[in-house]
Amino acid sequence: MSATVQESLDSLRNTRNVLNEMPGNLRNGWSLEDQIKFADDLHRISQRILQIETIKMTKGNQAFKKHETQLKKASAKLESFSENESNFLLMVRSINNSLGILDEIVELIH
Amino acid sequence: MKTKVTQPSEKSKQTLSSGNALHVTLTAILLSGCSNSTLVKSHSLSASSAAYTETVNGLLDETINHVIDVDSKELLRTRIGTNPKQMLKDKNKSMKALIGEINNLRQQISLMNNYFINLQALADSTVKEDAGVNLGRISSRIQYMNNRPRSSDDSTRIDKLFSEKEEGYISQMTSMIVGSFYAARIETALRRDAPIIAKQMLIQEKQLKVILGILQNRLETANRMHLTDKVIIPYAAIKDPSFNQDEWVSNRRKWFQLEQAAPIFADVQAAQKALRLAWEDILRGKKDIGAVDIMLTDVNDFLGTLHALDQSRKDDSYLSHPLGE
Repeated sequence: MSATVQESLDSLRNTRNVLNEMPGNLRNGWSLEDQIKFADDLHRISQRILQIETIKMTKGNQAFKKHETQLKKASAKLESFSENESNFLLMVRSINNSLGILDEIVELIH
Repeated sequence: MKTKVTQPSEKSKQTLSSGNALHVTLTAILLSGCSNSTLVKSHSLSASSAAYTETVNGLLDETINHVIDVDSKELLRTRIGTNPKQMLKDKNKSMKALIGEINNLRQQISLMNNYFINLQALADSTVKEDAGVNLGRISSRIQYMNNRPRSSDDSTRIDKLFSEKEEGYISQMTSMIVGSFYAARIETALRRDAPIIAKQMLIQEKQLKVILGILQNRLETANRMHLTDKVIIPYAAIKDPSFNQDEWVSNRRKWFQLEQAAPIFADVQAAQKALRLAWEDILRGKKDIGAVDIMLTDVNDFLGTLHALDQSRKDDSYLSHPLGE
């Protein structure tokens, strides 16, 4: 299995972990709009993880070949927000703004 | 809190015992040209295959359960999202696709186990004209599954998973057969099936690697959720009147126990590889395939422990800490 694909998957999983670890009582203090953004972020990332895992299992490297660099770049960007942004609210907003690229790439591979 | 853990090798002992009833011993396969010492030390490939099949089935069940559970917990966290109904629908669709593929792997493993059972039946058969029709049918079915989708030009065909080196390995399988060891009908079957079985085993190795990655990830995710919701948040909420010290101590202990469950993953892959090497040994007329059984014992221990811990966590309504979710 391509290391690049695995690295992308790891980045997405790490980002999901950070979102999952965000305490509910902290999120409850946010505006409704930001709470929705948090939910959408977590949902879309875990949805893409599921899809990538299924493709990896059935189609292997070939399916990712054309887009693996873009996938890695998009996943690394999301992970960088979760690693470097200490303000949870800003992290959620930044991830939300960058998820579109990930969605597009996974749809192309899918 | 009950944390009933399956006794170390009970499950695998039972498995091996039932596998022994099937026993394709090499004694039966090696119908001619074998020394007595070879026969005494020989192990049963079909017994190992049956044990392997049961173990991997257990592993696949655990994977499916954990994937569903983690996903459901996430859905509870994301219920406030833009369109909850659509989110649930999307997740169900993706989940079905993944579970479908896991069950395809289960079917492949079961088919391969049937192959070994029928290889034994052919070796044991006293009917002179027995051409091993069942064995041929199973082998054709495995070959069919090895070549999905049908078009060899399709870039998503399952055998595109292989590197050139692996292709070379598969094509060399027939040359491993030591013809003089076997009765003619067994040799014919082995010559026909050697590359088919090897290819299927390689496919399983690759898919199992992905499955193990998924299971490991979901265990980690579930542990992180447990740590956050049941250990960190309650501990930090020093003014919470509902804080239960005993429950917190128990939850923290569980987290440490679950953290220790991971290192066995390598053994599952090692068992899979050992089974493939055992197939090579059959072709070469060798005999000692005990390595598979030893590793499966450890894997079964792990699955028993995992299941018991998971059960105990569920008993404690793990999802519902008031400050967590």
